[in-house]
Amino acid sequence: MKEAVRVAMADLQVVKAPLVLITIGLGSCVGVTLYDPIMKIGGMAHIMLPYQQKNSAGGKPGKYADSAVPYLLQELLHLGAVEKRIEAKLAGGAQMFPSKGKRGNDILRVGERNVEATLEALKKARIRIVAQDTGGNHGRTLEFATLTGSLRVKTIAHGEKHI
Amino acid sequence: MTRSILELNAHQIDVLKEVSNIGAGNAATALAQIIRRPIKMTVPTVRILSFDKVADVAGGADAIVAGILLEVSGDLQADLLLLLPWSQASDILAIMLAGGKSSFLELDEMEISALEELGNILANSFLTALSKFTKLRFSPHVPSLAIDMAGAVLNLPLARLGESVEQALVIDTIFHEQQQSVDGYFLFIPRPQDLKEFLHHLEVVSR
Repeated sequence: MKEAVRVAMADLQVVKAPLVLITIGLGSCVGVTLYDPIMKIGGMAHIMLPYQQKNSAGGKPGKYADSAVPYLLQELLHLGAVEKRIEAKLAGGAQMFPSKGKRGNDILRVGERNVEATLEALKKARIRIVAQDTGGNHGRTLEFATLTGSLRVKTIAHGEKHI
Repeated sequence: MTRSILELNAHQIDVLKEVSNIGAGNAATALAQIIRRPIKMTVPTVRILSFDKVADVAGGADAIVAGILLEVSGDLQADLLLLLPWSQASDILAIMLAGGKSSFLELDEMEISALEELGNILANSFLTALSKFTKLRFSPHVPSLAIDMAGAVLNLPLARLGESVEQALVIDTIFHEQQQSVDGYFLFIPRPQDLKEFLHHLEVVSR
């Protein structure tokens, strides 16, 4: 495998080919990639929560869907990517624990809300979504190859795919 | 730019360690009774970690684990998490249900229920000891099981914390048998809301 750059939880990274971006063990978190296929510049964010709350702790832009997407886009443009060519892929957003009773259902659905907020942020930024593998109740590990733009999604019990 | 969840002084860390040690000791005894084997445990470690580092406590983000999660409410909001490396979970199931399992793809209702019950018993043992020591009230909610990569299993409790803080206070203990290295990781992750008050209370009762 080409040299890999790990994207930590609540973090984001932007690199040029031939580097590979990886993030390990996405559960309710969402991994989103942005890519310029001509310049072969790719970025990935590991999103934990949907929206940056007004009174929240703030923190890294990669933590929230609504801050990660615009920040990641700016970072790509900064490295020389061309906005109209940029395409997005996303994976993750699972519900790892089954809901039981009424209590805490909202937080159990954080995966679903992360996916919704990421789609919304991408739409707002007018970025085309070319592939998506979200939901379910299993974890995912992602490897994004900036040479090809292929996103490898690995699971422990649901096989592996390239999207 | 990372803000710390709170500054713990040396005395607070000692008291947290002490009270967790009593709780985890109780949980280890319960585990030993269930699997009918002697269980040892490490002295609990108190650490403040960035979210990404929490999975390292339990063997790394890609380690395959059975995770039993219990939300705790009452005088302190927290999450209790029992993380069993899959091979250990499988062994424990064999003891509890008299029949081994080779693949996590095939867990039936009874097996899921058995692992959840295991988490339930350990959490209750831990909280009972904590309650006796502190004279505070803790109520655990129903246990819930996920079998997957440790990183993925930890996403939910960490997302809960992430709404208000940038780091997690993690108190972790490792359970192990004499002949094997790790049987399970037991994580106590208090939420920030009542933590200050809880720590103050601990300092008072430990004097």
